[in-house]
Amino acid sequence: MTRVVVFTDDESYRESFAAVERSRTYSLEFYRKDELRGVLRSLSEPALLYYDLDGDSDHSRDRALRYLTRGPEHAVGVIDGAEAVPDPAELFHAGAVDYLGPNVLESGVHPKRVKRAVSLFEQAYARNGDDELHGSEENNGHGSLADADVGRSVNPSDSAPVGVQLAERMTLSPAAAERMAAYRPSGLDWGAVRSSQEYTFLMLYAELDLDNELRRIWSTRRIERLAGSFRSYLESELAGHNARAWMWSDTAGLFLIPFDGRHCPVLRDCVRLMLSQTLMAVEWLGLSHSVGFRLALTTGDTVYEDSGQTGDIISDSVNFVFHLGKRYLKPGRFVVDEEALWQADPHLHALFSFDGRYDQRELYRMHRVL
Amino acid sequence: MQIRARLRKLCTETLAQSLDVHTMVVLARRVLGDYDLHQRTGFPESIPIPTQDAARQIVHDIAASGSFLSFISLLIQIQENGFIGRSYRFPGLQEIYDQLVKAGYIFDYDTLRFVEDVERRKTRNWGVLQPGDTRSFTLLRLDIAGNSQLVRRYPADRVEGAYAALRRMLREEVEGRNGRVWSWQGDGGLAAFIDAERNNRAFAASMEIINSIFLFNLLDSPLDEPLRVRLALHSGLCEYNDRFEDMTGEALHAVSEIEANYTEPDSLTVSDAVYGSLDRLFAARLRPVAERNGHRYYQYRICIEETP
Repeated sequence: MTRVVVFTDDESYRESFAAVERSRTYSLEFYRKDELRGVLRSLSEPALLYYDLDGDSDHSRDRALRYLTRGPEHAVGVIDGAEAVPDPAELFHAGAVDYLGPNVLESGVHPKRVKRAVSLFEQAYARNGDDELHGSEENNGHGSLADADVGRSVNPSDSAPVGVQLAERMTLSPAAAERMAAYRPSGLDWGAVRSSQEYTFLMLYAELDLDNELRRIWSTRRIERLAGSFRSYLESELAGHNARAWMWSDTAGLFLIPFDGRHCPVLRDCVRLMLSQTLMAVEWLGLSHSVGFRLALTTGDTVYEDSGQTGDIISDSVNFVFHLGKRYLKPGRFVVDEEALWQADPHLHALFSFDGRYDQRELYRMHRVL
Repeated sequence: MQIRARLRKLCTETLAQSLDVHTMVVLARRVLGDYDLHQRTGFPESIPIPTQDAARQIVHDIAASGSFLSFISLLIQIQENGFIGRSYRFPGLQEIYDQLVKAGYIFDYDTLRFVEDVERRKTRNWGVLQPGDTRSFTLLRLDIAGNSQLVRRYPADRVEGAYAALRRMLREEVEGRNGRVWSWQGDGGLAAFIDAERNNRAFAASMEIINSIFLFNLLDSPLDEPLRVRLALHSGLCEYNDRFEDMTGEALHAVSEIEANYTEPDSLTVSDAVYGSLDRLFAARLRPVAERNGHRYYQYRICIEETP
């Protein structure tokens, strides 16, 4: 990675990068901040990107950083000449590899610093990169995040916008951090998942809420048909996440969702499902009775076997999520464990509140849709 | 709609093989109104018109009037239910049907009409409406609140990005439910629904749009503040024209009135004309919001408890 791209509206920062510009190792380019998206789209190879936060509102800054750190392609550094970031360490949690405060900018950015930043990025991805996440024969996708560099390992979300007040909304318990360090992510590609191997997945428990009265009135056949439609609805709505209905019994089931170990984009669609319960009842199930569902989203480890051949699987995580769904979860509710929530887009956190602990795991509940 | 020569020929043969001239004329009048076959063919009243000639002329006139799909719909109904106490079999009807399906139409058994297969073709008239047709439509009006301030406050590309996303949502939700977006004017638009379930479909689309905007504002919007929209639904008569500017009707005026006068940002207002035929579960999501001149209006908005 020898290309350094700086996004700033402040011409004076060219001087701060003069040493990098003179270096034979790196090529240096400057762009205006409003050119960010266009330039990123045109970059065909990995680069070290420096983004100047000066003049951004908290919201714009969050968005820009989220956009920059969304994928593993580029290393990201931050220019903060006005010391606007109260806690620069948060930047590293969000996936940044360098922070240029006023002192550094004044004394100038040295090529050695750039080299260290690039090296930090490469180390993180060498251990935690996509290849490993997708699993090779040697490691079977069991790259432990515990081995990875700080800043790319146990963090709230690589795409987490800096400045969103995660700490006020939730804190990650030491037990969760420990579990996250031991992840063996399945990777996002089912093609790399092998039978009889253990992986960490996102697990979604879903159950159609039928009270005893409806169970009494409706025939078994009707309930079976309804459960089938419910399952098809979820499969259709979660298709973008490659979710698989893995175990299903009566009106409840477990979806396995491929997991990269760092992001939980499916939470957005779970929220959407909760908002759309009436639409599902009318459009998919053709009901005139109000029938909703409950959801529980967790991270968990299990040996993978194809659906229908799961009878012999022994997995604490699978037991946990079924017990959570059957014993803890109330009708119409959606709970998520702290790890899944932590790794989801932090803008969703405002919709959740701490709900309690179940089997030593902290749970957050989505506020009810009234 | 252009009717290919092969399809006309097939239809002509089907009529000639299955119906006498008198019945053909009766059916043609069902579709075309006052129809004089002798005058159309030039045969004097005193001379019987050969079956083949009658069929050819009727098919020609029906195709020219733009009523071909309505006529085939009528044949399908007659084959299924009979006509004036008699049952009929039309030997070429299945092939005609197959060709129409191939051309991008499906038969809607709810409305007993051919409509466009939205997976394959979408025109603003569903492929069946003719200019000047007056029909009952359910209209969905969407407007962006505070458009002028947004345009002043943000660079054009950010505003355009947000509006383009909104337009995409409108199109997806509306067309996914067999509605059509009739107009988009930069800061809002109008969509229409026509089939038998049009009120429920329009409401479902509106609800989904409100839900999508909620998540868009939370997660995707390029603006630093929420994009706020007003949606209104009303059902009523409207005269269809190919250009939106030429469409007329009370319903067009009324839906704009409802949106402007009875709709708060981030919400949907439904007129009583729509509310009355909504599915019970949909109606339960609405609350009365205003009553004027004997009409009631109902509101939907997302309500999420603030603290559990």
